[in-house]
Amino acid sequence: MEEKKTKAKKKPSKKSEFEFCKVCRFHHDQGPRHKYFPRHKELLSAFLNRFRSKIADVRFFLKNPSFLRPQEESQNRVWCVFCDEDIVELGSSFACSKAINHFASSEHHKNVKQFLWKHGPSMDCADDFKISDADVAKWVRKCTALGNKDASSCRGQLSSDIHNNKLEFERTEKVQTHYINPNDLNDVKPLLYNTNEYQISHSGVTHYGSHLNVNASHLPPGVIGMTSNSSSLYGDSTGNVHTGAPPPWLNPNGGNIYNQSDITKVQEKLPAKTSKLNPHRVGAAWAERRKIEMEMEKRGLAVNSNTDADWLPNFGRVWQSGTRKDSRKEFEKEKRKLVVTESISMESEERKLVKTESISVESEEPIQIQPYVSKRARAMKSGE
Amino acid sequence: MESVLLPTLTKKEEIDRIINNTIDKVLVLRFGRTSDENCLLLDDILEKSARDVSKFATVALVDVDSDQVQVYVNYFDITLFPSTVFFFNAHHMKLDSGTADHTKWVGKFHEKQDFIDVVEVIFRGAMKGKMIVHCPLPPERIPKYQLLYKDV
Repeated sequence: MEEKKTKAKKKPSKKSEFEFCKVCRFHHDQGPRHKYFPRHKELLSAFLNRFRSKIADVRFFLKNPSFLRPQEESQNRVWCVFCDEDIVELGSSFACSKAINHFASSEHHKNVKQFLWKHGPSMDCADDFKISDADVAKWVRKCTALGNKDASSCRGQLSSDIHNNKLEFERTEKVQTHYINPNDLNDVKPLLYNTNEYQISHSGVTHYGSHLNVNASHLPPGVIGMTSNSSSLYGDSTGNVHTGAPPPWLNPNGGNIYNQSDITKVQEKLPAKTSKLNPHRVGAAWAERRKIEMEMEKRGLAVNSNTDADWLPNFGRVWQSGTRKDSRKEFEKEKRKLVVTESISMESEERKLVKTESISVESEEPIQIQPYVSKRARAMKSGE
Repeated sequence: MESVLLPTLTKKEEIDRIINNTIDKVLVLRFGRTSDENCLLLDDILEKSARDVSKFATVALVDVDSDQVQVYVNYFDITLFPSTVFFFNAHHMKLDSGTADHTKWVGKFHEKQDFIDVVEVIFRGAMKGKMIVHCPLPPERIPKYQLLYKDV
């Protein structure tokens, strides 16, 4: 620590170390001053404008999601200058889907901030290079709508190749389920290509860069320097892709149930704003519970939500005098009655059906219909 | 013509979802059909004020002609269009406006500010734990209607 401090103190006296400026594409020793130089500023504005036009293209697809044909996958790619990353749309079913998720990711946001801090001009334009979560959510909704609508036409297009067709649909499913939580970076990405297991474990030479899990004994002598994670390879009871264990997203018992520690973790993360709200407000307990549930859903943990087909919200009906629960009971009773009478009349006559269908507040039944007079008005009338 | 800004719900699941996902905000559900003139007037007001009330309310439209929302149309006793139902934290909020039906707002609002006032009163009431609130509008601005009922 002390060494560092002394270095920092000495720095202003001598020229700072050489570093590479991404924008000007040369090495300089001007230190942080460099970003105020007119040439740098000029180049920076051109640099950012170039990227703006790129992100404008992505935004176009954000607004109008469209399917990405497999043959165009390789052409649809974006270089992110902030993260120094090539975003290739291999295996995505919607145009620019990976780019959109990348620009919405927190990692990218961090890199944009860092870049602007380092190269200028100011943080004001940071939002130009990001995509907000709200937009992504909207886009996901549109995509799912599009997926539902175009499912049939898509099937028609790809029906020539059965294998491709199946793959494409699997991908759409995975993409949709995955993109619901764009911030969830810890997720295990689904494997989109069939890996050749023989190659991975035996040749080693071409694959060691991406598969660090390969057992050290299989590696050629040249790559001994690589860290090999051999302990987790066979010692792990759950196994991995090489041992033929089921992938984590197919785990039957792991995904559905969330344990208490998860809940407490989520609870800790919730903003302190909730404590400011009135604890006796309407549905406070429900809101707290639901918030935790939503947070869990956001993280990708499945939650046994109560949104089944028969769920009904709390409601007090017009003609109901009891509690709100009575309203629901009454409604359910009505519904049952309606179903029963309907089924009977279906069997017997059509005329009866018409009669039972017209059970409603404004029915044309022979029952006497009269206007509603409030209690107060009634009392006043009787008083007169 | 469909609304540009406000989401239109046509399925029960969509309504369930929006009720379940609106937390600590008033949920305004407009039941009606876009072919109706009064409904369009109301939609216009809702659309214009949705942004103003966005901090404490969410507005959504429900198409009553859709088969899949008939459950809610029956459950909420919706017989006149347009009808507006209010929720807070998945709890139904009642509004006493001096008319026969306290469970919903029937008809249109005269102007934007009327709607904002009503939603605000509901929000304030709900934050104080009240399930029913009094309508802040003067009686001449509340649409009049008659409810007919079946038995005594």
